Amino acid sequence: MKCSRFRKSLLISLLSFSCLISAGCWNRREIETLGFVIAVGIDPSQKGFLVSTQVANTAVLTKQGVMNAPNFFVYSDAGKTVFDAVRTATHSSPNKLFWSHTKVLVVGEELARKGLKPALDFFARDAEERRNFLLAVTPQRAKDIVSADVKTTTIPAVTLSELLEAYKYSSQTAYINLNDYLREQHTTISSLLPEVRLVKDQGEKVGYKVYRAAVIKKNKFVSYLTRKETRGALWVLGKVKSGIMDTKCLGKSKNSKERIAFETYKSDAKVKAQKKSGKYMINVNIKEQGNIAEASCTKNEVDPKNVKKMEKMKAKAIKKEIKASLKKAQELNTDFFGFGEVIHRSYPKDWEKIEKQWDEIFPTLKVKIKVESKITSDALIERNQQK
Amino acid sequence: MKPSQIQPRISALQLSFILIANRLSVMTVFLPVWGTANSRDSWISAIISGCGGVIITYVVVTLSNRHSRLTLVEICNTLFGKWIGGFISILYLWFFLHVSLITIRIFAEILNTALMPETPIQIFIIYIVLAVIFSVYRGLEAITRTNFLILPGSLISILLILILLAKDLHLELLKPIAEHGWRPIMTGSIVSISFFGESILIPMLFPYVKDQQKVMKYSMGAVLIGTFFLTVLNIAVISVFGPIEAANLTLPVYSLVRMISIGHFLERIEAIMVAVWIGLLFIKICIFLYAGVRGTGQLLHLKLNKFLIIPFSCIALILSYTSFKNLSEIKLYFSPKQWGIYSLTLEFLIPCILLVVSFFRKRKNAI
Repeated sequence: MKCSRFRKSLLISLLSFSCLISAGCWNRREIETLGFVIAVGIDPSQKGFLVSTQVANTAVLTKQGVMNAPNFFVYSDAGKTVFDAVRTATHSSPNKLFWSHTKVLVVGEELARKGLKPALDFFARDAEERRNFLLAVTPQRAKDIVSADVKTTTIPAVTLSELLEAYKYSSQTAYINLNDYLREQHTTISSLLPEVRLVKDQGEKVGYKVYRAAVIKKNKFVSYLTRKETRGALWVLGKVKSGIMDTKCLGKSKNSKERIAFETYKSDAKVKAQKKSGKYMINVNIKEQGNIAEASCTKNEVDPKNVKKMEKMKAKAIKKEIKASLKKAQELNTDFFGFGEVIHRSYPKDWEKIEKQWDEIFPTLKVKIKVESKITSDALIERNQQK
Repeated sequence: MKPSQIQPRISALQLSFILIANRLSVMTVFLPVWGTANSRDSWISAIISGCGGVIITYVVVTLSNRHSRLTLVEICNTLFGKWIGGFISILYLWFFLHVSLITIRIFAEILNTALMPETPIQIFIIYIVLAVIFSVYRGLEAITRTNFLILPGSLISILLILILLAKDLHLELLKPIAEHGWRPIMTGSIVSISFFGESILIPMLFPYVKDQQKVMKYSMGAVLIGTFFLTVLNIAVISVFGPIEAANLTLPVYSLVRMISIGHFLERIEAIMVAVWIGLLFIKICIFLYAGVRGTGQLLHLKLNKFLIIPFSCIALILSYTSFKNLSEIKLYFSPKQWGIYSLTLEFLIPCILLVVSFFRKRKNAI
């Protein structure tokens, strides 16, 4: 009896105590009061950083019928650090900026030249952001990219992130998220960031264009690659998911207007390091598979001899892209292929020495490229030997 | 009959579940950094620490098997007499209290760091201690049965997380193996071994186990499952973040879960991870506090020991608040030199001595 009374009193006191402390609630944030940041742009400013954020107008996006309200807001503020600028935004934004839904981070080229490290630390450290949002560089101002009113069904930032993700259809632009970027910058690898621009799109409305890649070495912008060079790098990195390779027609001259387009389905790259009499060498082995996507000029494509020829032509075209990319890389002295890490893995004991001299070794590094290309089908047309 | 006088009964399987929960809870909070100079090889350290865990568990269970009716405190007393035995027992009781208070602080810190940075840390500490007091009052059986519900869910969640991450893994980052030699790998495994050494709980709970002959088998199984998860999580963390960035992360597994994004609809599932933490850390705090309270009761030959729960919890509450300033301080505290030597002495050295002494004593007068 005594025991149960004691228990009862204990229970009552505990319950009343919990009433006391659960009345107030720290960190309470209602969803209506949050401003969901979808895209961020960072530019340099006189003060330090100019941070622009594109915030979704959730009320409009969820309720249909509110026609005249804009479906996103842009806030941009300067600060000595990124977070300083972000907090300054509370003076202009009625809702507290909420970062968990960030999809894209656009960096102005000018800032990238000065160094990205101070700009990115906030995003890697803060508890709200995820490390898997996408990075992009723009030669224009990041503020303009973020605040552009682009034709879209949802909001511009979502479109931008979709465009960045669509790299896989052409493989002519880079694709990188914050985590991969940070990981690569800890090593000798130079990262490739996609380039985004605003383009005039038939009249007044503007549109995004995502193509090419910017090379970032040791957190600093170095140069842009052309689209072909970008894909050359992606072949070696094994990141080509799909893409169109075009070559001249069989038996035609180099500048002939009749061309064949091959579509790539699958590609796989094996990169190996070799040491020969104190010098390092890289062997790149690429296996590619695809079909004929467009070829008005072919004859007798079922003939294995012709198929072999076409495969060779395709392999040659791929090899050319890679070579162009390699040449650029060695000129710029930026190892965006990650060859340094390949040597690191194969010769861990030598690496400590090599790492310091890597900038001298890389421009003259010998790279052997081997491409195996296959044509698996020719879609719905099979031209037999006619005429 | 008063409820406190009934001996609790648990099964060997439940005991092993408790061990897994203990190991998993801290492992999922801070993972690969255990003082290794080179965190790339931390998964090898994990495997080595599993071997260490097997040895410690073997010693501890053998000791318990020789004194199947006695708890650790009573074993100390019978083997070394009132004074020396009492002293060793007090060391152990302090250790149990210490582990539980550190765990309380870890619990509060991760909720504070990961979810609610503005909330004062005392609130978390007070809340978890209230919950722990309640469950320790309910006794061992209640705790183990709760764990029987919590642990399978947690294991499934962690496995699910690993499966969802499969596409982001860059396994080539694991190479080269043992770049800086084997020394950092060995030192890196010490703290991890000391966490496996928490199987020192077994002799504390052994007398209450129904099927005692199965304890050896099941607790070895627990160590193996723990090692498996530790290794796989290490591999996942390194191959997603890379060794250097991984060592910089405060809560590597939490950051890992935040990386999950499958086709834009299956993302932001870190709440699962927080749920796993809350469940597992809660069990760990409960069981260590229970062991402390029970042991004190036995040391002082008390018939009722429930009145000890509130004072014990209060000590844990206050010390957990005052011992550390922040999460990184706890991390620093778990260094091989401090925590490693301190806990391995209690978890391995003293049990070994006890085992040797018990071997000779039992031969002499065959108790």
